[in-house]
Amino acid sequence: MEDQPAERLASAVLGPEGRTEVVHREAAMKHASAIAHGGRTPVLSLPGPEPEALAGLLETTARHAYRVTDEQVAALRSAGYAEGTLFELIVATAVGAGLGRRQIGLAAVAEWERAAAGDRRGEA
Amino acid sequence: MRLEAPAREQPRTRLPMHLLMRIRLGSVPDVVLATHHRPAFFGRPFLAWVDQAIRTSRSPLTQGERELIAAVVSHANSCRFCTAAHSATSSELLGQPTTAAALDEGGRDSLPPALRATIEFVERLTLDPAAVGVGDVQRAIDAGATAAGLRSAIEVCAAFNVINRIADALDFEVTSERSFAIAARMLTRFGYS
Repeated sequence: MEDQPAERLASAVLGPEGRTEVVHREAAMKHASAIAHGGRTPVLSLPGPEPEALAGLLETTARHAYRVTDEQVAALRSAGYAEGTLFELIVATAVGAGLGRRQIGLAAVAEWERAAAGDRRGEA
Repeated sequence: MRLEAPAREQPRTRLPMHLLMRIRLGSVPDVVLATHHRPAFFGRPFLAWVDQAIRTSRSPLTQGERELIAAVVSHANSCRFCTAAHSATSSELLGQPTTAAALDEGGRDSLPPALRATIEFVERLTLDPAAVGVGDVQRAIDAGATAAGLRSAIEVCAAFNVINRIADALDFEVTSERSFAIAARMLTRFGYS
């Protein structure tokens, strides 16, 4: 349900305005969210001539984007990746990283509220 | 910026604003190019989220406190562009000493306990999200934060974990302190969307 701006953002990035296949945008978003949640992350299956290098760029973007280099992006452009593809998958990754953290934080607050409500009922 | 497409493909309706920015700031900031590029895909819903999270949503946190949280999250992500931009907006609203104190882990004793606890919560959510749980919420509540305040902080934290990554993957140019200060006055008065 898209009642929150964050959810509307996710829908837009996975929606018809994208030019890359939605399966790849969704994979990038879910991969970054899974990294935030910890544990095993799914293998990132991506299109094009250098899928492992592209997966490397998105992994770096998700975990520590300040480490992305000019050379990484230039190599992917030289390999034939369209700028639109790189833009969309970087955005999808970033959105996954943000929304994963949002989900974790809000779940923790909700769990605290349930426990606090339970404590209050116990005292009544 | 590492990609040329965001500068090349811009809506015509934004061109007057970009001209004004060139006059006032010297250039169109890369964050503006990235969020105005193909706006229906990313920029329009993203800016709507940021504007609501920082300015228009009902929150126990002031707009200045939410800008401060944006600066702290950006600093935690080592995002130089966003840290500079939101240090400027935070300083515009809360003052430079409070902003500097929040960005210095050793200097936070001067902050109100609830604000300090909220900052520490969003830092942990940024850097070690898988470890965040109800214990972290309890610690913040014990220091005077509220559930509503934490939810508000989480929205800002999440939005800036998005834009920090885009800023760094695309290498947004860090311009002058003066241009960030001018932009901060515009953002704090007129908003993001």
